[in-house]
Amino acid sequence: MAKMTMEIWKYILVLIIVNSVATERIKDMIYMPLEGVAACFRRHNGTHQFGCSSSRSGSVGVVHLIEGDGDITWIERNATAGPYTVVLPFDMFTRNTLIRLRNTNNINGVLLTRNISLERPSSYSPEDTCPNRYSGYKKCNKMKPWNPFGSALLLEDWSFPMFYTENQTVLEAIKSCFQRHNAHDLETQYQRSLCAIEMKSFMYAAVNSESCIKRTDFNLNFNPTQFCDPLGDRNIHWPLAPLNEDSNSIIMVTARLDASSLFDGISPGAGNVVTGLVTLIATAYYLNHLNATVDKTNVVFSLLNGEAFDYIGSSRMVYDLKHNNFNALGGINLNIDHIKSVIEFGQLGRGKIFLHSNGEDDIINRLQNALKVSNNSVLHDSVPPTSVQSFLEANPNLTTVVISNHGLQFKNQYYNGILDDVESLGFNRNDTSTLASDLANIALQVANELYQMVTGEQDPQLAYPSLSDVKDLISEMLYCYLESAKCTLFRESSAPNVKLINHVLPLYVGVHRAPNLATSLTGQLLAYLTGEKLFEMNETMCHENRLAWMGGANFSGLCINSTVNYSAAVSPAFIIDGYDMKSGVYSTWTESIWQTLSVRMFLKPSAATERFSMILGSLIAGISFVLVWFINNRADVLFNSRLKATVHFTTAQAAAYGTFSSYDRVTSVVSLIKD
Amino acid sequence: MTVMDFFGCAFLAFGPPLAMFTFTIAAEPIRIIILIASAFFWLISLLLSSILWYAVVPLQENLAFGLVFSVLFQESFRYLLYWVLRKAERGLEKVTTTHVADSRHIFAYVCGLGFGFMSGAFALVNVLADAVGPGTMGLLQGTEYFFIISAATTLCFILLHTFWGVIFFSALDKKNWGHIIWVVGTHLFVSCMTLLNRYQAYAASLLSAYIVLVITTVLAFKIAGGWIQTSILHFQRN
Repeated sequence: MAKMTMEIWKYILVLIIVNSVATERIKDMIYMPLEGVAACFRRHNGTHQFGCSSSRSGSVGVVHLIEGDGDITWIERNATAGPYTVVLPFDMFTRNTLIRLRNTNNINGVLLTRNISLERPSSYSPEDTCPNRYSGYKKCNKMKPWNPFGSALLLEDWSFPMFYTENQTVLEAIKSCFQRHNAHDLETQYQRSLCAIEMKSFMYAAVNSESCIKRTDFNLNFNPTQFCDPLGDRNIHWPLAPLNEDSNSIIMVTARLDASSLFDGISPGAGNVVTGLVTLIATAYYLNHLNATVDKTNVVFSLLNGEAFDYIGSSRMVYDLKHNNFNALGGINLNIDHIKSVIEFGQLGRGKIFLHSNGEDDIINRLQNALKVSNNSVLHDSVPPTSVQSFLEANPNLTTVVISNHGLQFKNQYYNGILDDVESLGFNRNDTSTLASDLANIALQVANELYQMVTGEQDPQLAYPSLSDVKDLISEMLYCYLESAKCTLFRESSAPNVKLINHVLPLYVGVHRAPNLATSLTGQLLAYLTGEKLFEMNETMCHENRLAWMGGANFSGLCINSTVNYSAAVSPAFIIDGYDMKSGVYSTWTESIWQTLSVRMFLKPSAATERFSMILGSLIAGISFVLVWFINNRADVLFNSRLKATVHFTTAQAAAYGTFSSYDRVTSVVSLIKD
Repeated sequence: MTVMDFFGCAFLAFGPPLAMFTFTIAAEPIRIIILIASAFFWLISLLLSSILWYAVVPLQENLAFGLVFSVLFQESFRYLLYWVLRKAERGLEKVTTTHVADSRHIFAYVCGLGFGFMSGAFALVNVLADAVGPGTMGLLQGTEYFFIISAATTLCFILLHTFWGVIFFSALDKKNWGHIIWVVGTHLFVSCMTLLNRYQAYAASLLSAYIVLVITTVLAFKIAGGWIQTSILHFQRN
């Protein structure tokens, strides 16, 4: 009731009647929350911390719109009302700019904005020039690094919070607020109330993975405080045929499942991940239809997760294989020696294909012929920074082939950046002739070669699925991953009536505690495309037999018997007892815990206004104390009436005429009363 | 940094009433009891206003409606408080050494201050809570002096309630209908003037409120037996 009365009093009472329809609090009139922003957050490895964090209560900075170099110089030299929050356009978001801003020590936040009407920058990759530089088998050539566009923004500890938005209304609001309050009379800015932005993205973890895990003391608390979580998720595996109990000869076909970026919730990884991923699924789909009779050689398709962070998925898989612990495939222990060769789908795209090979094997030549790769596009002893690095580290004699669209340097200008999206890939759903067609061709040829290697026979020319069917499948998959997860294929492969989100799936691996949606959907899709369809089963029978119940072609439900399985993709560093986090053998990436990620804009009062209210308040309070004391002391004189002249009066008078004799006092009192 | 705003506004609005409390009320226990009783009466009036507001759904959007009825409720409860106090006078005589019947003005003053304290607290606490944050008014609407204006208006209302109390009680004693009409009328007038705040006419509402305050103060001073000439004479003598 008290709350309600207070609510209502707002309508009634004078002061609060500033707004006629005051369903809002004063707070809502002061602050304008900025919606649709993505935060930069903090990650750790064994030795360092990376990313951004605000102060615990939020970092407040005066808005300054950066449009050119001159604005940064102004902040460096002439700014008076700091600390500032700078609003950067995308083409200014470079390492150089950020370092300059950091060096001013006058920055409390960076809001990266993208005006979608403007052209995107020619390159933006926050990844290192040598991705996963300190891990893997083959070191990167520093003179000719894999990722020439890399700015290594991801590998920096920023002292201020950063947010990204492409919400144009937010951008307009900030601009108009800046123009109205901040932009004029820059020299005397500090005298005015200014438009400011508060960023809240406080990160609980600090220093490095080791110390933040140590701080989570499970022994002392029943409900321990978490500070950070290891990165990780699940790998997805599908064997072409059930494995043999004893000896196996395996051709691994892998692709990575995760991308990364500087901002939470946006890691499209289009050219980096999705192209290879969908090609692998299409290959598996086609090979499954070829109905190969497996004899000695088997094929295992694996989608590896967390590869952007020092090969979490592949290193864990190799670790399990080495320790005879890998039994995701039908409960049979697979060993690293069983693996004969690894074919990886790297970054793919339109046009020319390159093969990065290691070792000498027939498989390389066969793939070269099948994919019609010219001799100078076959790079021997070349190992791009992908999953094969982990396999080669365990067994340097392994034959590996990475099929990619790049030679010694990436063609993708947005590797692990937020711009590595559908637009940069140039994908158009209705046009299956270019990208989808090229990827379908790769998938088909690789599947045919695999068929020959498994059976030793020529591949049968299938009527279904034909090349154009695979094309359509790839086109549909690209749509699912690049444009919206609310698509036909994901609906068909999810349980009926599951709500799918209507935006691009973030492919960031995330923390192992929270299952990744992209992984689940991908695993289901692979199961749906390669599994056996049991039309005669209904939902209860399907669940009783521990099979997967999916939407099916008309979304009404279909039982799928599939051998797709998952294995943990958490770095061995977190399962080995007493692992030295600084040794650099395994990935040690962790992600900090946070509570809120929010940005709001408001008017920051000038120091003058604050001083004025403080001085006015203190002055009035002080004067009133003196005045009331005075009036109260002289109440007898001021209120010249009988009823006041009682006890109060005499004591006050006694004090006032303290020097008189007692007789005098009495007479004076009496005379005053008579008045 | 707006902690300064918070304290500035708190001092401005509650400094003078606090001074009055310290020097005039805190001296005697009976006055504290009556202060709390009157604050409680004001709360009940607020409760009734809110029930009314809650019940009459179509007029919830209409501020003036709630405002007028709230004022009427407050004034009715001021009368109720008067009535209760008069009934209780004899009983109060037994628990205190003060002659209650002789110090009616003091009790009227205490009752008024109790009303003022409570209404001031309800008016400003919400605003003060939001004044602590890093921002100030003015981005979407209002002015950056919003908090100071709020505090000044609150102060004005606390003082007005105090003097209205003095005038109202003595007017009821003497059946002086003119004074009663003055109290209810100015209460309505000042409250309605604050409706102008939504058009950002802060000067109009604040100025009219303080003009009414000055007149009411003089009136209350006279009713309480204040006599300016003797006072000045007295000070000159010192």
